[in-house]
Amino acid sequence: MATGASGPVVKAEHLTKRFGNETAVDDVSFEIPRGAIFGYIGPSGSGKTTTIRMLTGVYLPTSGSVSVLGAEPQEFGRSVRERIGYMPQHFVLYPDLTVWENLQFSASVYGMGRRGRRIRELLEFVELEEHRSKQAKNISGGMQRRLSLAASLLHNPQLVFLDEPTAGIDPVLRRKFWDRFRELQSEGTTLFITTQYVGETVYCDLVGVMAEDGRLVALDTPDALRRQAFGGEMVVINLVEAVEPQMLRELRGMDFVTGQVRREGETGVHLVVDDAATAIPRVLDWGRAGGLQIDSAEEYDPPFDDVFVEIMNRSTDRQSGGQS
Amino acid sequence: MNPLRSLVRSGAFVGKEVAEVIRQPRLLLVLVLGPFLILLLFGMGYREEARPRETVFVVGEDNPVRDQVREFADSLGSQVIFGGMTTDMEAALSRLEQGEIDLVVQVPDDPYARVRADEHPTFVLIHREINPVQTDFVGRLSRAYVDEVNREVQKRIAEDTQQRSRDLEDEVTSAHALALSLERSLSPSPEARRAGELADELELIQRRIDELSLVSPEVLVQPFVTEVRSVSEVSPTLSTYFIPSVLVLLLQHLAVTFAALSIVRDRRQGSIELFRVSPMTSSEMLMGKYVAYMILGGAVGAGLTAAVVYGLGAPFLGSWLNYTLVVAALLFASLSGGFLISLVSNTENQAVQYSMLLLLTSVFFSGFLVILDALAPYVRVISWLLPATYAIELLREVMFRGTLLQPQLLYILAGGGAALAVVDWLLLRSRMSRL
Repeated sequence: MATGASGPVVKAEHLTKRFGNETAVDDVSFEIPRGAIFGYIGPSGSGKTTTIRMLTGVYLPTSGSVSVLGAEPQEFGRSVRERIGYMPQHFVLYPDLTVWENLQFSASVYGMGRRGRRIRELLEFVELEEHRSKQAKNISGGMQRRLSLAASLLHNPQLVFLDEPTAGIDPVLRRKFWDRFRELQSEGTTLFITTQYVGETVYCDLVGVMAEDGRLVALDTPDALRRQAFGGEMVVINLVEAVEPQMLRELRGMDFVTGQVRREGETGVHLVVDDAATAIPRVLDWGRAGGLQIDSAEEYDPPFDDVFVEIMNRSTDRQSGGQS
Repeated sequence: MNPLRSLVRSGAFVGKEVAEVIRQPRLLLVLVLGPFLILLLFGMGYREEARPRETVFVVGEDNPVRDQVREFADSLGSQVIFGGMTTDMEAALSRLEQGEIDLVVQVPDDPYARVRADEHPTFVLIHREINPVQTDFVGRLSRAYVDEVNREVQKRIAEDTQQRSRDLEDEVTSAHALALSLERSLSPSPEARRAGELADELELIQRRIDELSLVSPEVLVQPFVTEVRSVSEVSPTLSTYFIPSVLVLLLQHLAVTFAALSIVRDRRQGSIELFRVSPMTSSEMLMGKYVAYMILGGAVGAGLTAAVVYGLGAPFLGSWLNYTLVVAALLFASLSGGFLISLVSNTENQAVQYSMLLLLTSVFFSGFLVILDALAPYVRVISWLLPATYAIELLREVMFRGTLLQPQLLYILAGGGAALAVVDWLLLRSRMSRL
């Protein structure tokens, strides 16, 4: 069964995986459109790898259904498998083989005939050309990750599952990796990427956030997640004089304020608004009307670490509220 | 399915496995050169003759065979070192217990008188062996010794008899002449005829005496001897005879160990997860591994064969084609066994232990140490489950007889390997399927 050009490349519905009494993935549903970068974020042990294994057919779900490239993983044919690239979380290539030999091996696994040029391209991409003759056991952990990444991309897959590809990679190279992922995306490749680096969420089109108990607690675009985490957009006001409690009370009473209003230091205020673009002029008006000297008022994009923490906290609150 | 792509996928394992083994020279040394050198040293150093026993004889001063005791001992060749004679039994036993000597022989007193009294004079051999094989050897030595003594005694009796018959010969000749003379003087009469008959009888006795003196005493006491001949073109020494079995055990162990470590390592390392997601099938994977290890095993086999045939001069009468077929079937069946071990083992240590267990079983049950006929029929079932059993029989035939007398063994070996390969494939397919 071929997937339609407009249909989702990956579709998971109520996906659950239990190992004995332990629930690794709990009722997870999502769809990934063709050509998207799907970021799958969550703490260690939250079920990210288990989800990938169910999507690639390594694990059979306990319940729920999965469709990848239009086929159920347990019915993957050779043609579907040839269109999937997979980079496992741990280094599973061969330590006694050289970097070049490992890539030759991976190319053969996918039945590739002429592969020399493609291997050289990928070696250049992961910056391992100088180390091509070294045995994999004699290169660093970061280099091994890069080698695994190159191996997973050798056969030009349409859909790539990358399980923490940037773990142990220095920030400069991590940035290069994401640039390359965007390039792949622009060529039509769909990428499913797990990561513990929350900041990398910003590079994704769609983000799924997993909680420690295996639930998917948020699923949206990065911007929407930010709004979801704080209840709207965030504006930062810096006054010339010290912020008084009365000022905070007045701001909380404004109709464009939809969330928290809190003081930041002596002269700063953070407030959550429905729309920063319309809220900022009204804040300035409010200042002028009250005779306040406002040094600056601008939209603030909180780092995704804060977004992630907020989402997790909200999820925990919701769960404890539901339980009580 | 694109067959070319399938070949490329299998080829992935050929290159990978060969490169991995070559990168581990220590493993090759341990698996091949180590056992080969140990067995070579054993073969070169093993002595096929028994250890000589230093023997003290306890014999009375007035014993009539006292002078012959040393002579009898020497006649046994290098098996007995004459350690002297003594009349003191206790002193001899004390030396034996201290380990100064190996054997004490108590010579029977007045043996001739006992024979005349219709009794068996008994030589008593006292030893200090605890090894049942050595105890058995002492028993055989005692029989050889007493046979030698008996033969010597019989020879002397024969010599004595010949001497006495020669003494009688003159008297018989005179009596014969007298009988002829009587016959002539009494003829014709009935008495003359009887004298003639007497002369004939005496002539016959004379001829018998002549015949008796013509035969040597040695032939008289041991008229029949045996001579062993073989239709085989070669008669291998004990060390040479073991060469095919050593080769077989080495190749089986090598193939089993490599295969046993192979899949379990892929599983432990996590590579199998990658293959589950890829288009690689269990049959392509298994095929690649078979080819890789057949190449490696074949190379090692060729090296070892060249070493024993051209280096050690082991006889080789058969065709190289038959030899190659046997080695290939052995490697194939051993790899199938090794892959089975690999698929049922959870760790590499477990796989090595199972491989060693198979080697130990092969040493005892494959006909390497003891011939199969020496094993009880129900134990022989185990023997015929081992690839080594078939290959040892076949290689001995090819190398020492120059022909494959039992080609059915080759078919069973290859067929068994193929049946096991199917089991391996089913197990691997199950391991490769989703959890």
